Amino acid sequence: MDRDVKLRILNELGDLPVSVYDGLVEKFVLISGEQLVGIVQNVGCGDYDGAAQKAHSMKGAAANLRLHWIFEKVREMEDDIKRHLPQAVIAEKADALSQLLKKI
Amino acid sequence: MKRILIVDDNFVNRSYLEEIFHDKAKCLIAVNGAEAFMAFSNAFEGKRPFDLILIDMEMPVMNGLDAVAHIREYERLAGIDVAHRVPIIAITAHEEQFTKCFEAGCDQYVLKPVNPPALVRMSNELMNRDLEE
Repeated sequence: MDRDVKLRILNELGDLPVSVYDGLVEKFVLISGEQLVGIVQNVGCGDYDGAAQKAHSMKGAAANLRLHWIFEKVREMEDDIKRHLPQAVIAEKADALSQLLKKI
Repeated sequence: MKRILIVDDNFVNRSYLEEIFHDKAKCLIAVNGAEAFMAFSNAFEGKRPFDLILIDMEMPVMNGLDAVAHIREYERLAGIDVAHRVPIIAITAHEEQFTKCFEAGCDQYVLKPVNPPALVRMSNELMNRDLEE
């Protein structure tokens, strides 16, 4: 993550130590990767509610960590899930998000 | 030390809230509304009720609104009046949920992303309400 971006985020979060923030982001990346796999599987089974719930959970965590660029992409994907778009569309969004997560 | 029940299905969000309060209160965790209700009732029966509940609204198994409604009904049946019930702060991503939060029995709400200093201020106000009155 860009140093200036992180400094701005930490400033927004008040007195949250850098090491704690880094730890939370690391867990977010790990858990979100698993959630993205689950989302695509849910949609494949027609379980759009389950997929939307996972996307919503991921979106909230991204918001709390001020990862705004991730938040926006998850929000788009959640909207697509709620519109019951085909699995291929959701899978493409999930893949793009996975790539973004790797760059954090 | 104050006891806070943190309820969220997302590990990162729970950890984030724990971190905000780790030096201010003893934090206990529930991962959905059903667990939250169990934790609340166990603490109540064990004479060690929570001083505050922070609860996410959208969760699997049982959502926050249903959990808060169950908690308030439990308190009502136990004869707890409004002034002495556990303060509950709803954490939600949707502004349109505010009315439902209050109808279910929440005392306050915060919007995601959570602003740590504002949440701490709000929590302190709610937890100390008896002392200040």
